Amino acid sequence: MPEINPFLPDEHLMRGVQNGSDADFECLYSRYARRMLGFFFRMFRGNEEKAQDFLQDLFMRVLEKAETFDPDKNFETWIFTVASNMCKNEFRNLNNHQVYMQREDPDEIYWQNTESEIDHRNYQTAIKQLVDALEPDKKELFVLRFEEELSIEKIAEVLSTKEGTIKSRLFYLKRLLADKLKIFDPNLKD
Amino acid sequence: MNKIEEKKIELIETLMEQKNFSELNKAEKELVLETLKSELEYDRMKELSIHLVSYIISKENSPLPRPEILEKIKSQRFTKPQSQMSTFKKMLTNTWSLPVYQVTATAAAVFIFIFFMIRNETSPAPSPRVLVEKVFVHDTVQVAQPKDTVFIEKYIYRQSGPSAKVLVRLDEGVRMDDHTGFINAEDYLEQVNQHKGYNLEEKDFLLTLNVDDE
Repeated sequence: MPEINPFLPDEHLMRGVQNGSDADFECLYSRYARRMLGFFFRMFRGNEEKAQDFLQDLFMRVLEKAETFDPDKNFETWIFTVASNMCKNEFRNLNNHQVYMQREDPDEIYWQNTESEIDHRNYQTAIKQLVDALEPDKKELFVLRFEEELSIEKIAEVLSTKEGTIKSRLFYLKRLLADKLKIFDPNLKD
Repeated sequence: MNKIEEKKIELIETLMEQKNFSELNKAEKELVLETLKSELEYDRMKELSIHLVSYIISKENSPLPRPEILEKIKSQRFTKPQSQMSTFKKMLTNTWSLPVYQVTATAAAVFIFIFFMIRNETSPAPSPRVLVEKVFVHDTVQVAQPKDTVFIEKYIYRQSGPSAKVLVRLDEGVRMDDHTGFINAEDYLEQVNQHKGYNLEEKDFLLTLNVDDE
């Protein structure tokens, strides 16, 4: 791995990529490969093979579309936008029926967990299961916010929508999840 | 979603970060209950928010990128210019390759094309086929007819002041008087004068002019 100043901003490295610098590209890859793989991994419900293929495809696109990147814009937002569009295309290409056939019913997860040990660890596991069972757009929102920890502003940019819309979508997503997870709080009864 | 609703949600989220439902004042509770169904729902969402703050994807379960991916990307990057070469150049540099099925299909298509070309040249031209695509029906019927001979009747003279009796005998077409059987002389003359024609004086005059009356 070539020596690159770790404090150089992504956008600066991207400018190097635009000028054909392999070292800058490798540095960007090392910064983002794992995150982006995690994103694809979550989006494709733990299908690692597919996630790895998408990771490779993503960075090929970064190289191919490097010219289209505006160095005055945020690289993190840009790469997540490209990745998000790849996922959208994939979900569009797949037969929706097939996607939802594979989906677990959140209520089933809910019932499976009623007899399990109710603790924090289980709560986290249940969140993951519920998120996996979400529709692609809700799952994407969740992953971007709570796993990739992108700001509302950046998510709005990635998903090409308004910040207010993102806030309300997150609110109703949490409301939905909270409702499904009510079993984990024995002190709260309807 | 309108701006007021967005603002409300923002406020509720802020409240969730700070207080339980029981800690909210009256106005805050009212605000919360305008959007959420109950106190329980508020507390559940608050509970979830706490978990989500600490929610980090378990790194031990998340995969690591395959080491060969970076190499593959780099190698594809370097092979890319070759794919941008012209077909002619590729043929010359022997880097142009086609799958066997494409070559076979192309050869078969060329063979069939040539076969039909030769066959068309040697075989006699097919008789032209007349296809009636549409029949227009006109409602105009033309019938051949002999020319009619048109006679123009013209008096060449006009008698003025004859006895009614004589003229009536000469001209049966004159309306007769219902009682006497003869028409009144004045009435008759009036009828005769309706016909156009020339009197003898006029005839003589016309002859002097040698006018062809036809």
